[in-house]
Amino acid sequence: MSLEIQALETQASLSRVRVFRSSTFRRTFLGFVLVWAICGGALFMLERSATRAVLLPLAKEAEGRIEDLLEEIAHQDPLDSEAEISEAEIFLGMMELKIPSQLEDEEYLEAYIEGLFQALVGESSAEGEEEGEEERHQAILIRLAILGERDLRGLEGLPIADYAELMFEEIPRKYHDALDDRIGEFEDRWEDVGLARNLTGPDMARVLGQARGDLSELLEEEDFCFELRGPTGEILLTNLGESTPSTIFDTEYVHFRTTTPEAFEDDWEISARHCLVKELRLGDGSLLRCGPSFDHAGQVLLMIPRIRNAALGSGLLVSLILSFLLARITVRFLVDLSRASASLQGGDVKTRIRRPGDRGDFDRAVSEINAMLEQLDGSVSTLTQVTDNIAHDLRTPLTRLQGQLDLLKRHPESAETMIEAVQDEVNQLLATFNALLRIAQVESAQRRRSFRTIDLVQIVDDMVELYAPVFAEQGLSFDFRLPEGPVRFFGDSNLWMQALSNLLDNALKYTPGGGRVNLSLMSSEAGTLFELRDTGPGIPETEMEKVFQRFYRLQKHRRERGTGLGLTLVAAICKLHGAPIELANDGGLVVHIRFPKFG
Amino acid sequence: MRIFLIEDDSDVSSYVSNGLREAGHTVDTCGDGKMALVQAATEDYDVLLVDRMLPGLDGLAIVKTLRGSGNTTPVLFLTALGDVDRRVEGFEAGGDDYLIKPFAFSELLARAEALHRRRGAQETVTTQLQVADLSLDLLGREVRRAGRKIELQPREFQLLEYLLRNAGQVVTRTMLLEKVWDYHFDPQTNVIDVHISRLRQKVDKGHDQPLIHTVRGAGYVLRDPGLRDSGVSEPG
Repeated sequence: MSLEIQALETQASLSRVRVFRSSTFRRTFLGFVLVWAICGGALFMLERSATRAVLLPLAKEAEGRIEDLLEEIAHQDPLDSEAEISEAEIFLGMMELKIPSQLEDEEYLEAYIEGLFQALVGESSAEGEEEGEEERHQAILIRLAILGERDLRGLEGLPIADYAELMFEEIPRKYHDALDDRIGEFEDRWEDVGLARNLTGPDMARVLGQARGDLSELLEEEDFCFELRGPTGEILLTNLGESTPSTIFDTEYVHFRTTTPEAFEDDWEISARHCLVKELRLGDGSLLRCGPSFDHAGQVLLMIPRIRNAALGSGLLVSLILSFLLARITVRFLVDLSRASASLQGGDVKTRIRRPGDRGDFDRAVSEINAMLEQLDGSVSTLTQVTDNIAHDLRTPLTRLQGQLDLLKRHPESAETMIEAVQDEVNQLLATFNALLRIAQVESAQRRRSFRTIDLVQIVDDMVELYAPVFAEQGLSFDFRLPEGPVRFFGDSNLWMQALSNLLDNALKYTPGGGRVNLSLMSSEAGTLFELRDTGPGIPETEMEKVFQRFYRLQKHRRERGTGLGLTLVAAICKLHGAPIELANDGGLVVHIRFPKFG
Repeated sequence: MRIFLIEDDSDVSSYVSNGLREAGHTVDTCGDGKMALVQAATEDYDVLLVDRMLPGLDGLAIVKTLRGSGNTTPVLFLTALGDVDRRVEGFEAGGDDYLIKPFAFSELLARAEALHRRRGAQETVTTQLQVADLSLDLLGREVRRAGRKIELQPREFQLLEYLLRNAGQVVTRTMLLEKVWDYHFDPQTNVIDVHISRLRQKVDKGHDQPLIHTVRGAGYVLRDPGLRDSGVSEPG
């Protein structure tokens, strides 16, 4: 029958509240939360460094492209196309008339424009022009107009278009060349200057806005993002949609992350996830930001904060659940243990703990504890049995003693003979008592403390030497066979002497005269075998099991002298040392004790 | 013999002391450890019988203290604590013998007397033991009775030596087993009797006066029956 079936304790269910209130749960939960906090922190750091790690190389790569782009814009030749005057041309043309080294000074610029204007107005003529000429003039006029817009408007109060028309008719042909030369000069100088310094924000915005088509060709990039802010920071033009600059980079790059990455209506605006833009400060304080966008990389990078948030959010919940589950196993075990202890203290030795049965750590621990409880149970019932036996088997001689003393009282004249009988009885009782004590001692395994390395051959030899004369006197032949060298064993030599003595006493007692007793000790690979054979009557099969019990006497030997404890002690000694004993009938009684290999 | 019995159980104390007095000895008793130590140190005794478990100071401590102060009175421990470790403890503390309760009174008497005898014997170095016409030469390992040499096996020699050293006093079977064989177990059969019997065959047979006597309920004694000595005995 398995221990589990025998368990009488029914385990009540474990309440959730009990688990939540347990220290195990608290500690486990805190542990998890700590781990999550650390992971969360790590993820934050990761995001930052991952973004940098991913985007920077791309940005570096794009840097060249940005430079090229800006170069392109800077070096556009406005006079290449004579067929149309595009906005680009106007914009670019406007550039050639500004020379930073001379025209940074606004006063000078005003005067210059006015002078130029006067010159043109003063000598205008409306002579006939060729078709191409007409357009060129127009171009120049518009350039001038745009250039001097701020100033001219103030002066004349005329809208620019009207003024331009006026101008167109007035510029004499003969000044075209001079103007052309002038333009040419400015073109050369303009090449060195580059774009940024000469632009104003509004201008750039207007031009970019107007020159979308060409500019995009010019840019040759699909996913370029830019933002143009005026001198006071107002947004003039942007295709970034809803986005916020982030502070991940402290380099020359500004990192924009779109917050609403859905597709925009206008396909001019890109659905950029991440943009890395370089900043260019324009002449009037405006800010142009321009750079590539990273859609694919951005996908991944956008994931990180999402994962992080989801993880941190769910982490708390997961910690709670995991802690609960883990704590429950431990708490259940502890609660069961407490209950079993309480039950045991209340006197219930049959109590056992229910096993989880999963072969885990707790299962093993519970198994060990149940085994211990089983042993305790066994001890208690042995104790009960023993006290019962003792009560019975000590009462008998004591009763006899009382009878003898009573007789003595009534017949004081027979004191001489009676006293001796009484003394014999008392000595017998003492012997019984001592034997019982010794058995109890051996069974409680206390004697293990005095174990040493002993030589079995020496012990057997000593016993043989002691008993040989006795066998001789009783007319029994006594043969023995012992190994040559020592047979080492870990145990108590006194106990083995006692055991052998008891066995030899029995052989003497029960082997009829003329019989034979053989003793041998044989060593082999498996261990050492002790054998004691006699030619006595042996033990009936039905009583074989019982002979080791306390006070058990074979039916036919009830009257014999002796305590009935001899074999009990032998069995206890054998068990203590882990050397099993077997009895058999083979022409008499055969006793086998197997000593396991030493070491 | 002046005996000091240190025992806290009053029944055991009276039973033992009465027995000892009837055997012709003087007995003082004390049930408290501290007082007993003072008494043992100040008075002069031949043998101390000391119970290990005492109120006040335990028996072991009493003996250690006495030995520490130079007292060499033989000590016999009486105790219910019987395992090997305890016995060793007792000897290491300075005890000379150890008897486990419950004990037969005759055992106690025999051992106490043997201790007393031993003390006396320790003062002189002998090479020869003699009782009546039996002599044992310790150096030559020779035994003679009435001039004739007796051949003894080694164990028999040791047995006879022990009996001679304790001549006139009862030695119990347990004492023989412990002192001659150095065994500490209880045989059911009286193996000792057989060995004694064989010794008798060699020593007593053919002589008028048997020297080895059986003392019923106690043990054996080697004695010249012509002399009167302590302890009642019958020729056996």
